[in-house]
Amino acid sequence: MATIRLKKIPAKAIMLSLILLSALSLVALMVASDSPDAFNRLQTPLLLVNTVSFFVLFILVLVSGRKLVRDYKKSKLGAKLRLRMTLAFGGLAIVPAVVVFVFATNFMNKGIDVWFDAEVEQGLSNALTLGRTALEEKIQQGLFKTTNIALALTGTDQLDKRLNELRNDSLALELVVLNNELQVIGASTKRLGNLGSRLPSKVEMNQAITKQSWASLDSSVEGEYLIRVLVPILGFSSNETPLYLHSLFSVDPNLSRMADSVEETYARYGRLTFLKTPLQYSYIFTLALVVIVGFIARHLWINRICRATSQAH
Amino acid sequence: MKNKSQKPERLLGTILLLLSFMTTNLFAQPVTPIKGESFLLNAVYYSNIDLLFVFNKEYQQALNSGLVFDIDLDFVIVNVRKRRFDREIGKLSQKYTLKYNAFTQRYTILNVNTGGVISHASLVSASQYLGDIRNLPTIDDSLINIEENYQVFLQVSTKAQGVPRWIRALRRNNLNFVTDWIQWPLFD
Repeated sequence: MATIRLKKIPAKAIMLSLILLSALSLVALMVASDSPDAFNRLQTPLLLVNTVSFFVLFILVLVSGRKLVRDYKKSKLGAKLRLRMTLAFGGLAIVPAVVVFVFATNFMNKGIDVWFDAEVEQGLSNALTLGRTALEEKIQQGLFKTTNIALALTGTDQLDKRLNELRNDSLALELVVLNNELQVIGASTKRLGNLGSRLPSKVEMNQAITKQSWASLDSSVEGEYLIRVLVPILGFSSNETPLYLHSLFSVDPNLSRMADSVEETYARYGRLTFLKTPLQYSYIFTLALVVIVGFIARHLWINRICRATSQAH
Repeated sequence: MKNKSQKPERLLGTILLLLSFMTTNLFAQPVTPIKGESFLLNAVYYSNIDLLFVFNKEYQQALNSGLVFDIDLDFVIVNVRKRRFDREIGKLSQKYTLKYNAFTQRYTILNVNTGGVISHASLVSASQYLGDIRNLPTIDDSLINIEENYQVFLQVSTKAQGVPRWIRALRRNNLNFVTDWIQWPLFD
């Protein structure tokens, strides 16, 4: 008798604590779902807790089912009634669980799909194109200014001083004269320490050679947008090596901020779109686990009630 | 009889399926360390490393969707000793982040260690830039005993930022990759 008690009490305690833990984890999941970061952090341990609960409770259901069938086969008193009641209540419990699961999954998926509406994506894409078009004009201005500066350069004598004057007149951030080996011949910069990090690459140099100019919009770590232009200097060369002028212009800070905001929103939307399917699967998995744990817990409870009822009869 | 004749076909099918899965995974790897070499200059050992970055469609799609990738190069300099356990002399981690800016339509590489930023018009040129590491300061000469044998070990990893573990687990390609260690002597 004592051994039976010892076995029953831990099983009961484990069962109750697992159900309680599952219920608590679901409350935590509900609270965390408001904040994506908290949700990401909590999802894995919560799923683990629920998975463990599922397996332990499932084993308990199997054990109790086996015992019930064994009792029925042995024609024990009240076993038939218990089996019938368990099946009837179990059947009654499974229908609402499945209905809740199907409807909840459907609503959830539709809710997620609404967020990823094609019109939203098109709108964001249009905002990006609009911003790019607005900045295209600035790029053309930068190209025009750089071409004029290149024409104003007449020789390598006092090149740095001349570049400094031209930079001040043109409001450029940086002017660098390079040869086709990307070696700096002369430079003038407004921002100390930044020279070199923004030098053009070989590919860009080749484009400037073939198309007579190269211009691009670029961004910095701080979210600031810059216009970079590279044009050949036609007036003179260094030891018969063609020279190129690389210029850097800043974009109006307000425009830069707005462009950065559009880009950030577009990227965030893109990230969510990319992760949409696994996100949906993870929600379905969590919901399925919740429904199954709930169902199994209810089944164990029903089994207990049926046992008590049949014993009373 | 029918079942017997089907058995080898099934086996062959399974082997082919396994092989195709293995080769797909092999070719799907975004980075392969090719070689490394070190040299001494002004009392500092520098390293030149060649890596082959091949970002497949899935990586490109992830980047263009706004995902940011961390690329970590982990170096370990080990004193290889005879009849004794090897001794770790130093560790070095070189970190980069790779992202696509939809506004500028360029791939930006941030050198996390130096704060330097460079952008490329295509993923191919960004990959080439990342794979060609030159004159990376590796270890100070004062920590080295020329009489002993030293090896430089390198492991490269790529990791998608902000993708939770449970979402990565649900994806076929979880976008995180770690290469095997490669090694080369610090000096000959």
